[in-house]
Parts: sequence; C-alpha cells; structure tokens
Amino acid sequence: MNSTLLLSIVGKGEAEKLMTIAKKAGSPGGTILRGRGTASNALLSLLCLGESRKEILLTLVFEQHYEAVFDAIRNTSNLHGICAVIPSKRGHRAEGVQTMHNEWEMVQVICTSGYAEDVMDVARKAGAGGGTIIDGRGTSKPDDLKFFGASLVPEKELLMILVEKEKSEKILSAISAIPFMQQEGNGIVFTLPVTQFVQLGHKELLDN
Amino acid sequence: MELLRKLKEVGTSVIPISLMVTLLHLFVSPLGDGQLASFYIGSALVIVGLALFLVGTEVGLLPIGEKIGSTVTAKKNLPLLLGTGLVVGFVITFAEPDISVLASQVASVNASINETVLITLIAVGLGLLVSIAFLRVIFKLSIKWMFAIFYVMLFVLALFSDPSLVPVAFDSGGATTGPMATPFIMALGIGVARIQKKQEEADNFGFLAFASIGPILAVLLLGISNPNSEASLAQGMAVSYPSGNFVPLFLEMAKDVLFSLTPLLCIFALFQIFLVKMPTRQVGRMVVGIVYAFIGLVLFFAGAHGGFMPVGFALGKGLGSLSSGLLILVGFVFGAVAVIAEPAVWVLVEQVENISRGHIRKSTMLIAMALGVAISVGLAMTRIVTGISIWYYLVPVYTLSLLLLKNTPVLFSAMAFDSGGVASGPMSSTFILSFAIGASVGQGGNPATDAFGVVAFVAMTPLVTIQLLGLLYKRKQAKIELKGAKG
Repeated sequence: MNSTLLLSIVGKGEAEKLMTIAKKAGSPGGTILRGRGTASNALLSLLCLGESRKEILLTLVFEQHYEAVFDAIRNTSNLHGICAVIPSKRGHRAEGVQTMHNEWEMVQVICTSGYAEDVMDVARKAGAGGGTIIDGRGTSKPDDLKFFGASLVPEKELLMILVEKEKSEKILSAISAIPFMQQEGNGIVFTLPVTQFVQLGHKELLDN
Repeated sequence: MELLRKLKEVGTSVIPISLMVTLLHLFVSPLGDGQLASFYIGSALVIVGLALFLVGTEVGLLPIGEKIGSTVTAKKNLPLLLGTGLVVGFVITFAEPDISVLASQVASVNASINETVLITLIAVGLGLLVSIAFLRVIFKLSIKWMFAIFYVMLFVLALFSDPSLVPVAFDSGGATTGPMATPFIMALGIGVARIQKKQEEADNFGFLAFASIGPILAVLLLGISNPNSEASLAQGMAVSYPSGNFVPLFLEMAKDVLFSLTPLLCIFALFQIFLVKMPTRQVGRMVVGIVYAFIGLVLFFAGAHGGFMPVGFALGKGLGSLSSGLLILVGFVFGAVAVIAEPAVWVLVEQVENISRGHIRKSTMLIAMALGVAISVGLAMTRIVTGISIWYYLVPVYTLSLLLLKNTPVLFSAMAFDSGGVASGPMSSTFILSFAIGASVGQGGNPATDAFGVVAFVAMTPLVTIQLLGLLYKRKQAKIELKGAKG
C-alpha cells in the first residue's frame, strides 16, 4: 500500500505536541528520535554556540490520511522546524513508488562518529543551509569485536540536510570527495526524494 | 540558542535562593551592610557561570571523556583499559583543589597521618575504582552486588578505624570529585556503554559511584593503620568570610580552576595523539568548549565564594542563635535550593534525560535530588543542635539505600549511587558548609567537629530518594502494562 513518510524536525520537547496533532488528523503513530541541529552559519559554528537540541518525528501515514495529517502539521503555530514529505511504501521495497515531481531532496550521510561536523562544513560551502545530526551505532559482524563478556560496535552519526534539488548534486559530490568519506567503512551518502516541504511555525508555504 | 536556553533554565532555579535570602534578611535575621548586594552580584555570577559551564561541558568535556572511554574499550586491550582507569583517577585527584583542604582537615583530626601518604592513597584508591568500573561493564558484573559488597566493606572498615576520622572519610567521597572531574568521569562511562552491542541504560552510570568509594576506602584504611593520636581539634577552622570584593576572587579562582584543568588537558592531549586521533575540527570544538567551561567555572566560584559563603555563614549564625526549629527548617529549604545550583547535578540530570531518551525528565530528577539534599541538610542541622554521633545517621540511611537495591530497577540504582557524589559539589562546600559552621557558632557548639560530615550527609540521601523514584517508575510502568494487556 502506498504510504508517505512525514519527517519533521522540531525543537526539543516539541515532537510530542506535533504527534498529538498528527494523531488527531489520522496518523496511526510515530517515532521520536533525538538529534542536534548544526549551526546555521560559519561564525556560530566556529564559536560552537550555534548548536541546538532537536527532535525528529517520523510518522508513516496511509495515502487516504496523508492530506489531512500534512495540513494539520503545516498549520500548527508556536512550533518551529520543518516537515519533509518522503514517498514510500509500507511493508514493501520503495522502488515501486511512482516518482512524483520533487523539488527538494534530503541528503543523508552516515559516517564514523566525530566526522559529521566536518561533512556539514563541506556541505555548507557547497550551498547547504543547516543540518541535523543523530547519534547511532553500526551493526558490525557478530564475532569480530568480542571483548570478554562484551560485544562492541562502532559509533556512527547520521547527518540529514534538506536541500533544493538542483543543489543536491553539487553537495553530494562535494561530500563524496572528502578524503575520509572515500575510505571503506567510514561513510556513505545518499539522497531521498522530498515531494513537499514546509517550514513549521510560518504561515507562508515554501512548496509547490 | 543553547546558551540562552541554559541561562533561562539555570536562572529560574537560582532565583528562588535569592528570594529566600531576601525574605530571611527582611523578616528574620538581617544581614550586614553590603552583604545582600554582594549576594545579588554573586547570584548573577553563579547563573551566568553555570550556564556557560554547562554549554562548555557539552561541547568540550563530555565528548572528550566519551571518546576516551569508547576508544580505550574498542582497543580490546585489558591492561590499557585498567591503566587508563588508574591514570585518569590518579591525575584527577592530584588536580583537585579541594583535596589539600581535605588533607589538612584529616591532619587536624589525626595528626599522625602524613598528608602526602594520604593524598597518594586517595589517588590510588580512586584510580583503582575507576578501573573496577570499567571492568564491571566489560565483564557484565552486577552493579547492585558490587555496591552492596563495597558499602558493607566500608562500614566494617569504619568500625575498626579511628572514630574521629569516620565523618571525614565519608566527606572525602563527595569532596574529591570536583565540577571538572565529575562530568569527565561520567562521560568515560557513557563512552564505554555507547559501543556495547547489548545496550543497557544502566551501563552508562556507576563510574562516579565507584569513584567516590575510593577516597572513603583510603581514608578509613589510614585510620586503621594510624589509631587515634592526640587530636588537635582546638585549632578549629581559621576561615574568614569577606563579603563582596570580587576582583581578587576572580584571579584566585582562575588559578584554582586552571590547576585542576591542566592535568585533564594533558590526559586529553596524550590520548588524542596516541589513541583517539579525532579530526582537527572536533579537537577545535573541544578546546573551545573547555575555554567556556573554564570561564564559566571561574565566574561560578567567584559568585559562590564572594556572595554565597558570607551570607550562608551570617544566616546560619543568626538563625542558630535564634531558634533550633527554624534552623532545621531553613536548612531543609537551603538544601533543596542549593543542590539545584550544583554544576555537576545539571550535567547528571541532562545525561539521564538523554540516555533515557526523555523518559526520565530533568525536572523529575531535580525534584528527587532536591528532596534528598533537603532532608540531608535538615538532618545535619539536627546533628548540630543535638550533637549526637554521625553513626546514628550514616548507618540507617546507608542500610536503607542498600536494602532498596533489592527491588529498584538497576538503572535507578546506578543513577542513585552516582548522584551522591554529584550532589556534594562546590555549592555544598561553600554555601551549605558555611551555613552549618555559622549555625554551630550560633548554637555555641564546636564548628570544627560539627562541620565534618556535612558533605557526607549531602552525598548519602540522594541514594535513597533516587531509588524511591525508581520504585515509583516501576509501579507506574507495571500499571501501564496492565492497562495495555487489558485493552
């Protein structure tokens, strides 16, 4: 069945409020992740003062509810953040999804922990605005990292950057060209199509 | 922006202290000329300093500790892991400005103890226990059993140790880990826990708990090998309480903070060069973070020493000579508000919120800590009023906290034993301690003996309240699951 993934990035403590709104409009439920927003400009980034706590709300809605949920999210006031619409297929591989016209793309970078800031710097120079970082861990092979009673896994970071489609190619190649991204096991970069995108807390719409 | 957010958060929790002091000044025990004004300046410095320190810790100190913790574990080299624990614990102890204060306190109680031996032993004790904390996670040992065994051992040792040293020993657990060392040790544990395939929230905690057992063990052992000598209590504590004059304080505090920061920086540099090898950008961030934390702590200490200490002493003295009941009541409230102004407490509750992914809220933890320390300071005041032995307090409270281990969820037990060392930071050793000394003077007691044990009190009650909070969560969780099963 065709579904749509609504990916919202809001300030700390706001994701639950957004979920309540989405639920009322017909969303079955969602998952909240915690991340950190990178600085929006180079100076704040240099001073290490531009970071902020973010929450990422992922909610997968069926086609028939999509309009209502998206409208509800877009019309919320007193929340600040973004909401991106990513076409997907629930329970199936996403390749069958008819590619709709999309003007935005979400660049996703998974890299060894500690490098996401450098990647963001490169992306910023290539035209990106700001990004959001989520901490995670890799799933290494089951027997290669045993240490007495403990099994160890590598630390990873996931960096998400929402960009206009025409910029994404340049950013993608800039990120791929970073030396450490070319070493095996250090990082991968890919994009997701974003069919609609809205800035929350602003009435004016930026999509279509 | 994170700094503004922190300012707001910290401000709303420090302002109640100022209000309360103002009310006490107006209606109960008037303060001297200029004391109130410098108290207000002190409060402002504490707020700004604390906010800056927290931002700096997040950008600098915590990531460094986490990185060292995870890298050392990922090397899968047991001697390296144990060596790191030892070296980090050892260096941190020598760098702590409070440690020399503690050493002279010990010397004033038991003159036959050599200060150098004492400091070395505490450093080794702390290092050894940090290593044990590493081992616990790697070998998946039960943290509850380890707490139980270590604390029973402490009490058995205390029975055979020099009785006058017991309060000092229990003080030392909280006193040796200052606001720089606390986040660093905490972060080591988080780093180790983060790379475990099997994610246990409780693995993130416990490092501080073990770190505060080390010094207690060391002092008690010395007390056994040096049985009571001629106690020279009469010399008392020659502490003066100047009010205001912040400029020389800034310089003095800057020297102290720099002194405790330098060894940490050396450890960081060594690890960065030989093991961790982070990208330059990350190193830059961490250095900036450390600079923020440094400036923040200097402001905080200047505010606490110049504004809070004199007022604490004056109010303690005033209330102590007025009424015992009022003294205990005000002690209770001061305990609650002072712990919320502790730098390390904020670091801990933020980590708890992060690791539980928002499940255990910052405010809930703060309330449980505040309640715990409120009871502590209230109890400490009853001890000053009645003069009964510290054993009557230590034994029941620690017994209760060990009994609670049985049913409390392991995450909360680990957090609780960490929070003991966290609660007893610079605020309790300035504001609360000087309040207690003032109270003792007002009551006509001996401030030198009464003052010992106050920090130990602050460190012991959160063990009980945080575990009780855990039991509450467990019950709530069971109810939710029951509802889910029915619906």
